[in-house]
Amino acid sequence: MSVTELLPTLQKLSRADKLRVMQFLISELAREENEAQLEHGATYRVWSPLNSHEAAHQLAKLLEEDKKGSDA
Amino acid sequence: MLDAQRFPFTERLDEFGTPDAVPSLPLTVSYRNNSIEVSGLLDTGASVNVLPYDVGVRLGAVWEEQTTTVLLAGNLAPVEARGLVVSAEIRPFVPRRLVFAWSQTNDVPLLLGRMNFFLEFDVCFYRSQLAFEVRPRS
Repeated sequence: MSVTELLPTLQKLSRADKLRVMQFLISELAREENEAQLEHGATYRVWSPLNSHEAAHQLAKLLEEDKKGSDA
Repeated sequence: MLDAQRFPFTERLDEFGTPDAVPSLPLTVSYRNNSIEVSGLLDTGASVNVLPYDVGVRLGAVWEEQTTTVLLAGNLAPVEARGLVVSAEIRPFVPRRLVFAWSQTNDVPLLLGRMNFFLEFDVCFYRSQLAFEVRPRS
Protein backbone atom coordinates (compact mmCIF):
# COMPACT_ATOMS: atom_id res chain seq x y z
CA MET A 1 0.00 0.00 0.00
CA SER A 2 1.36 3.43 -0.95
CA VAL A 3 1.36 6.52 1.29
CA THR A 4 -1.20 8.15 -1.03
CA GLU A 5 -3.57 5.25 -0.42
CA LEU A 6 -2.80 5.19 3.28
CA LEU A 7 -3.42 8.86 4.09
CA PRO A 8 -7.23 8.90 3.56
CA THR A 9 -7.50 5.84 5.83
CA LEU A 10 -5.42 7.52 8.51
CA GLN A 11 -7.56 10.66 8.23
CA LYS A 12 -10.62 8.63 9.22
CA LEU A 13 -9.06 7.44 12.47
CA SER A 14 -10.11 8.81 15.84
CA ARG A 15 -7.81 11.23 17.62
CA ALA A 16 -6.67 8.47 20.01
CA ASP A 17 -5.83 6.12 17.17
CA LYS A 18 -3.96 8.87 15.30
CA LEU A 19 -1.84 9.36 18.41
CA ARG A 20 -1.20 5.63 18.61
CA VAL A 21 -0.07 5.58 14.98
CA MET A 22 2.24 8.52 15.69
CA GLN A 23 3.74 6.75 18.69
CA PHE A 24 4.22 3.60 16.63
CA LEU A 25 6.03 5.45 13.84
CA ILE A 26 8.24 7.37 16.28
CA SER A 27 9.27 4.18 18.06
CA GLU A 28 9.90 2.43 14.71
CA LEU A 29 12.14 5.28 13.53
CA ALA A 30 14.02 5.33 16.85
CA ARG A 31 14.52 1.57 16.72
CA GLU A 32 15.80 1.65 13.13
CA GLU A 33 18.21 4.50 13.85
CA ASN A 34 19.44 2.80 16.99
CA GLU A 35 20.07 -0.45 15.14
CA ALA A 36 21.99 1.29 12.39
CA GLN A 37 24.13 3.30 14.78
CA LEU A 38 27.83 2.68 15.31
CA GLU A 39 29.59 4.35 18.19
CA HIS A 40 32.30 6.80 17.17
CA GLY A 41 35.73 5.58 18.24
CA ALA A 42 34.39 2.30 19.63
CA THR A 43 36.14 -1.03 19.14
CA TYR A 44 34.06 -3.72 17.47
CA ARG A 45 35.75 -7.10 17.63
CA VAL A 46 35.40 -9.33 14.59
CA TRP A 47 36.66 -12.78 15.41
CA SER A 48 35.95 -14.36 12.03
CA PRO A 49 39.15 -15.85 10.60
CA LEU A 50 37.96 -14.76 7.16
CA ASN A 51 40.79 -15.71 4.83
CA SER A 52 42.30 -18.65 6.67
CA HIS A 53 42.48 -20.72 3.50
CA GLU A 54 45.58 -22.62 4.53
CA ALA A 55 43.99 -23.49 7.89
CA ALA A 56 40.86 -24.71 6.08
CA HIS A 57 43.01 -26.87 3.79
CA GLN A 58 44.91 -28.38 6.72
CA LEU A 59 41.72 -29.09 8.66
CA ALA A 60 40.16 -30.73 5.59
CA LYS A 61 43.17 -33.04 5.40
CA LEU A 62 42.90 -33.81 9.13
CA LEU A 63 39.20 -34.61 8.72
CA GLU A 64 39.96 -36.93 5.81
CA GLU A 65 42.66 -38.75 7.81
CA ASP A 66 40.28 -39.05 10.77
CA LYS A 67 37.60 -40.49 8.49
CA LYS A 68 40.05 -43.06 7.08
CA GLY A 69 41.04 -44.00 10.65
CA SER A 70 37.38 -44.41 11.65
CA ASP A 71 36.57 -46.53 8.59
CA ALA A 72 39.61 -48.81 9.03
CA MET B 1 14.84 -34.70 2.56
CA LEU B 2 15.10 -34.14 6.31
CA ASP B 3 12.97 -31.43 7.88
CA ALA B 4 14.82 -28.34 8.99
CA GLN B 5 15.05 -27.63 12.69
CA ARG B 6 14.19 -24.08 13.72
CA PHE B 7 16.14 -22.24 16.45
CA PRO B 8 15.64 -18.78 17.98
CA PHE B 9 18.26 -16.05 17.79
CA THR B 10 19.78 -15.35 21.21
CA GLU B 11 18.80 -11.87 22.32
CA ARG B 12 21.15 -9.88 24.53
CA LEU B 13 22.40 -6.37 25.21
CA ASP B 14 25.71 -5.38 23.65
CA GLU B 15 28.36 -3.45 25.59
CA PHE B 16 26.57 -0.16 24.81
CA GLY B 17 23.26 -1.49 26.16
CA THR B 18 21.78 -1.78 22.69
CA PRO B 19 19.60 -4.85 22.07
CA ASP B 20 21.36 -7.37 19.84
CA ALA B 21 20.42 -10.81 18.53
CA VAL B 22 22.88 -13.49 17.46
CA PRO B 23 22.42 -16.84 15.70
CA SER B 24 23.75 -19.10 18.42
CA LEU B 25 23.24 -22.82 17.88
CA PRO B 26 23.00 -25.29 20.81
CA LEU B 27 24.92 -28.50 20.17
CA THR B 28 26.58 -31.36 22.01
CA VAL B 29 30.24 -31.94 21.20
CA SER B 30 31.93 -35.24 22.04
CA TYR B 31 35.56 -36.33 22.04
CA ARG B 32 36.54 -39.82 23.11
CA ASN B 33 34.28 -40.46 26.15
CA ASN B 34 33.49 -36.87 27.05
CA SER B 35 30.47 -34.84 25.94
CA ILE B 36 29.54 -31.27 26.72
CA GLU B 37 26.73 -28.92 25.78
CA VAL B 38 27.88 -25.74 24.06
CA SER B 39 26.57 -22.93 21.87
CA GLY B 40 28.20 -22.12 18.56
CA LEU B 41 27.99 -18.82 16.72
CA LEU B 42 27.01 -19.37 13.09
CA ASP B 43 29.68 -17.40 11.25
CA THR B 44 29.63 -17.52 7.47
CA GLY B 45 32.62 -15.16 7.49
CA ALA B 46 34.85 -17.71 9.20
CA SER B 47 36.94 -19.96 6.96
CA VAL B 48 37.06 -22.58 9.71
CA ASN B 49 35.32 -23.71 12.89
CA VAL B 50 37.04 -22.33 15.99
CA LEU B 51 37.03 -23.96 19.44
CA PRO B 52 37.96 -21.95 22.56
CA TYR B 53 40.79 -23.51 24.57
CA ASP B 54 38.73 -24.34 27.67
CA VAL B 55 36.13 -26.23 25.65
CA GLY B 56 38.85 -28.52 24.26
CA VAL B 57 40.24 -29.06 27.76
CA ARG B 58 36.77 -29.88 29.11
CA LEU B 59 36.46 -32.44 26.32
CA GLY B 60 39.64 -34.10 27.53
CA ALA B 61 41.74 -33.12 24.52
CA VAL B 62 45.46 -32.75 25.16
CA TRP B 63 47.14 -29.84 23.39
CA GLU B 64 50.46 -31.64 22.92
CA GLU B 65 48.74 -34.62 21.27
CA GLN B 66 47.26 -32.51 18.47
CA THR B 67 49.90 -32.37 15.77
CA THR B 68 48.12 -30.35 13.06
CA THR B 69 49.11 -26.73 13.51
CA VAL B 70 46.90 -24.16 11.79
CA LEU B 71 47.37 -20.45 11.16
CA LEU B 72 44.36 -18.21 11.69
CA ALA B 73 43.65 -14.77 10.25
CA GLY B 74 41.90 -11.64 11.51
CA ASN B 75 41.80 -10.92 15.24
CA LEU B 76 42.92 -14.51 15.82
CA ALA B 77 46.13 -14.19 13.81
CA PRO B 78 48.39 -14.01 16.91
CA VAL B 79 46.72 -17.04 18.49
CA GLU B 80 48.19 -20.52 18.09
CA ALA B 81 45.71 -23.17 16.98
CA ARG B 82 45.70 -26.91 16.37
CA GLY B 83 43.30 -29.16 14.50
CA LEU B 84 40.83 -31.23 16.52
CA VAL B 85 38.11 -33.51 15.15
CA VAL B 86 35.04 -33.98 17.36
CA SER B 87 31.57 -35.43 17.03
CA ALA B 88 28.81 -32.83 17.09
CA GLU B 89 25.13 -33.52 17.65
CA ILE B 90 22.49 -30.97 16.74
CA ARG B 91 19.25 -32.45 17.88
CA PRO B 92 17.22 -34.04 16.35
CA PHE B 93 19.84 -34.93 13.71
CA VAL B 94 22.41 -37.71 13.88
CA PRO B 95 25.91 -36.62 14.99
CA ARG B 96 28.39 -35.36 12.37
CA ARG B 97 32.17 -35.05 12.48
CA LEU B 98 33.26 -31.44 12.79
CA VAL B 99 36.86 -30.31 12.57
CA PHE B 100 37.92 -27.32 14.69
CA ALA B 101 40.85 -24.99 14.90
CA TRP B 102 41.35 -25.45 18.65
CA SER B 103 42.71 -22.07 19.66
CA GLN B 104 44.94 -21.35 22.63
CA THR B 105 42.65 -18.62 23.95
CA ASN B 106 39.36 -18.43 25.79
CA ASP B 107 38.70 -14.91 24.53
CA VAL B 108 36.84 -16.14 21.48
CA PRO B 109 33.37 -17.62 21.01
CA LEU B 110 32.92 -21.10 19.59
CA LEU B 111 32.62 -20.31 15.88
CA LEU B 112 30.89 -22.52 13.35
CA GLY B 113 32.42 -21.66 9.98
CA ARG B 114 32.75 -22.83 6.41
CA MET B 115 35.23 -25.69 7.06
CA ASN B 116 33.35 -27.75 7.85
CA PHE B 117 30.09 -26.74 9.56
CA PHE B 118 28.65 -25.12 6.43
CA LEU B 119 29.75 -28.12 4.38
CA GLU B 120 27.70 -30.38 6.63
CA PHE B 121 24.65 -28.22 7.26
CA ASP B 122 22.43 -25.88 5.27
CA VAL B 123 21.22 -22.84 7.18
CA CYS B 124 18.51 -20.27 6.47
CA PHE B 125 18.45 -17.03 8.46
CA TYR B 126 15.18 -15.19 9.19
CA ARG B 127 16.46 -12.20 11.14
CA SER B 128 13.13 -10.34 11.05
CA GLN B 129 11.57 -13.37 12.78
CA LEU B 130 14.56 -13.76 15.13
CA ALA B 131 14.95 -17.34 13.96
CA PHE B 132 17.12 -19.57 11.79
CA GLU B 133 16.72 -23.06 10.40
CA VAL B 134 19.33 -25.81 10.16
CA ARG B 135 19.22 -28.96 8.05
CA PRO B 136 21.96 -31.56 7.43
CA ARG B 137 23.18 -31.71 3.85
CA SER B 138 21.51 -34.47 1.90
